[in-house]
Amino acid sequence: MQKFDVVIVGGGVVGCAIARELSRYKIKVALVEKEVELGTGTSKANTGLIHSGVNVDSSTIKGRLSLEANPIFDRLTSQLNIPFKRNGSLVVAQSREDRQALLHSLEEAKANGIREVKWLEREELIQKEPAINPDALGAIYAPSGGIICPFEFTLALGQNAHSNGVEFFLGTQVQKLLVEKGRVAGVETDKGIIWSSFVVNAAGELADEIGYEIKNEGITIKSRRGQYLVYDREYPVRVNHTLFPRPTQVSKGIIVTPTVHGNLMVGPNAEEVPGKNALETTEAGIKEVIEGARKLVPKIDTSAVIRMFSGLRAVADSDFIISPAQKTGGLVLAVGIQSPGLTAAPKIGELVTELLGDMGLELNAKTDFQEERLSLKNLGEMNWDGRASLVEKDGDYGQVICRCEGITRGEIRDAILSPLGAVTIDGIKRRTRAASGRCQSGFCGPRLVELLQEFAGISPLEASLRGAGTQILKYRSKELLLKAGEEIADL
Amino acid sequence: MRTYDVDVIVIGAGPAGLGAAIKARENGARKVLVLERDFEPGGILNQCIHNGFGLQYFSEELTGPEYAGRFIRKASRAGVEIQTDTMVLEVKPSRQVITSSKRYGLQEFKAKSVVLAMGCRERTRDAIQIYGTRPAGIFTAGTAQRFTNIEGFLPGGKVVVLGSGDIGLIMARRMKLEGCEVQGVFELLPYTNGLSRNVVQCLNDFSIPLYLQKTITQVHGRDRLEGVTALKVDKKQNLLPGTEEFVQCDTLLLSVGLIPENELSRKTGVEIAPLTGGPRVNQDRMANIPGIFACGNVVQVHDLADDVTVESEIAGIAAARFQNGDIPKKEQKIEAGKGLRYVVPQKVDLSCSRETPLIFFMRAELPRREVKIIISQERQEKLAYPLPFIKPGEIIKITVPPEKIKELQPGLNIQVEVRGGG
Repeated sequence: MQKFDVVIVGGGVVGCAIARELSRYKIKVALVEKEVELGTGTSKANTGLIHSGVNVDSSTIKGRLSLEANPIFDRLTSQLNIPFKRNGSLVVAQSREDRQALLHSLEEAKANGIREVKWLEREELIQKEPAINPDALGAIYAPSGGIICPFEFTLALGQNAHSNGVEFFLGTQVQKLLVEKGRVAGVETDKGIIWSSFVVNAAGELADEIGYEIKNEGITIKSRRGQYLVYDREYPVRVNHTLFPRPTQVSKGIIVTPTVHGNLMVGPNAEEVPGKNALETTEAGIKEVIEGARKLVPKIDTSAVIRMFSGLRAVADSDFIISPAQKTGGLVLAVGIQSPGLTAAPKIGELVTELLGDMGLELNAKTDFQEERLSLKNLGEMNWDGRASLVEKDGDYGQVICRCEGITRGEIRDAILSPLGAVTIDGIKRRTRAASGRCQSGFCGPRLVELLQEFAGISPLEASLRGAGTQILKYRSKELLLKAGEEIADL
Repeated sequence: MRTYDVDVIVIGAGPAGLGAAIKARENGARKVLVLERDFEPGGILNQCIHNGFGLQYFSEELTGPEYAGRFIRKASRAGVEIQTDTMVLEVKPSRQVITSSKRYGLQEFKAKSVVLAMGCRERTRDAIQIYGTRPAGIFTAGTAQRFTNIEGFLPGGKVVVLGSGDIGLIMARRMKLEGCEVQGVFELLPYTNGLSRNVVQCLNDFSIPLYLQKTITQVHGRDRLEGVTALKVDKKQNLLPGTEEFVQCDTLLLSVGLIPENELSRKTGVEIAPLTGGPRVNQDRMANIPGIFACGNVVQVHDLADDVTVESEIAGIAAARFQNGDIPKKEQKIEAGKGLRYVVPQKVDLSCSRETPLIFFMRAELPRREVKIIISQERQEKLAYPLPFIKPGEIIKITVPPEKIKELQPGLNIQVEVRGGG
């Protein structure tokens, strides 16, 4: 196998952001991801927030990087052609104690240079966010807080890196880090060895399981689970801003927010869980989320829930760990990226690049780096005339497959055929929103299975939610009967 | 975008849409166009390959595709035009309908009347909050039915069904007939939600266990479903902790309720009745917007396709007549009283002369025997209909013939309620 300058382990938002940043330079970069799609771990199951930076400690790495990253999102998302909205965040005081503490946080936020951050008294708050609990005692308002789709963000970073020359090895699991004379030489995967001068560990919650004991570095990854509920877009209870309670020691608390696609979302709680497979939702967890959300918006109930999910935050320390490994040369760690990792990701990419430069990687900028990522067509954003002329040229955009979200055959075809295209139902869903609406694939599921066959050559019995083991269908009709018949015949 | 003028646009080519279109055509509408999003007309009947259709309407027993086939042929003979693979994107209150299709691109139809016949969709796992992992193997019963009967694939081999609605019962039998192990049908309530005949023909005849007052709260398995947690509930549907039991399966089919698909109607401004989830309609099945009619499962979830046909014919005739200005004007409320969850239609104009009977559809709140359905005005009993039994799983249909309608006084609200029984 060919030799790379840098191998990035992990295709989440951090790995993809690092890949995009490195793709600016004349070096050979590979990204290895164990799943067949990008962004399937923590990056797919989080709140999708671009944090304003209120209540972050600017002396920490995570605080500094997220403060630096927030202002660049307008430009970055327009380059990547993904939706982003600065809907503003409100950190709501629910008691006198909260109010005291938040007024203090406001001063810190101002000192940290957060744009236009200010205090809203109760009346102003209610005017701004009518659904808010009327018992609220004011809030910190930060107009720079924003919302983004975390899957599209991760994918767009990955696709942009790909079109700038980064090689992606998807469905490839790193089993072992190859170390020669105290220095990395590459990674051994289930598909063979990938040689490389430098390795970046961006494996998220599995960062301590890639065959290299980062425990040697004194690091262990703990999983902290958060559960969420997503509501129907027609749910009448809605908010304009992202509402936070006063944060606790461990988390930013249970948040009520619109998503960038217009659904109401609430969560997460924060639970220490033993295993990295503890991805279930629980009655107690969902109850906790609903109760937390109701403190901010009392009208929230469960009448229009379309999806419950849980995500694991990979926690190593109270801060991110972004540094060269101490005991192995050529290895950079980008681990323990908990909240606000989504916000900080572009800056993590820059920091890791800088560290690699310091470690001796030669960084000569390309002259032909393409900042713009060509986006897929989004018919939902077009007017009827624009849509009509598009369908005239390409009939596939006329055939609606997902009726809940109005997604067409053309959009799904593009999602499958574009670089790093979808190979699973979840992959289609995250790229196009097909199957993410209120029927949750009840109607379009069979169509998506067909389209995976038509455009990706995946047979219906191999079509899966998210890769091997999650195939949707088990047998052909009559297969069980024929088997039973053969068994009887054998008697 | 091309624009066309039509008399009646019908949205949906299931039994409701086809029935309405045929009747509209037979009653004077010249150009009747049915818009269907699927690749063939027939709606959900195409995947209902079991029998039991048409017993009331045709007095013979048909399968779903046969029942649909009769209407498809009849529509074609009547000169009804059907455009398949066509999705309606918007219905304006002024009755302009915008559609999208691969073959015809975007089109705009200006219709004199519009009939909404989009049917219903199934409630999902998340809507009823079944906790746990997110493995493959969890389907709504209707989706599993489509995979099995139309696409030719089985969702799994070891099946648990949650919910004893008709689709759940039918699919329990269907899976068994395909050679699957069917572990049982679980029902939260103390009685089944499906038709009695389906309990007998689908479960009893195939020795499939029915577990009443038992529900499923959690699913297990990381990649593929490995089992579910079943739990007993008390009479008030409270979970009884300590009764948890693990039931092994690779497939969970959900038959936990149908919801009229009124996303389009809502955007148009059609008023939706909260208890049916469908448009609030009058005896002609006209909604609050003049010229916009609705019928079938989009109005209320029916149990029988035959009833859908009956309702669609009312809407179809009225949609054709609307063009002549023959519409109810002074509408009075029809209220569901004691023992009933809802009554359809929700309003009526009794001064509007009709040679057709007035048909009330209603849902009982609880099962009861030996009851009377009482229709009254200003607390005065006007009409009484004795019934041997009622149950929530079987829609009650009361047909008031024209000569009896005269006993009701125009200008007064109507109350319908259940009396007597036990």
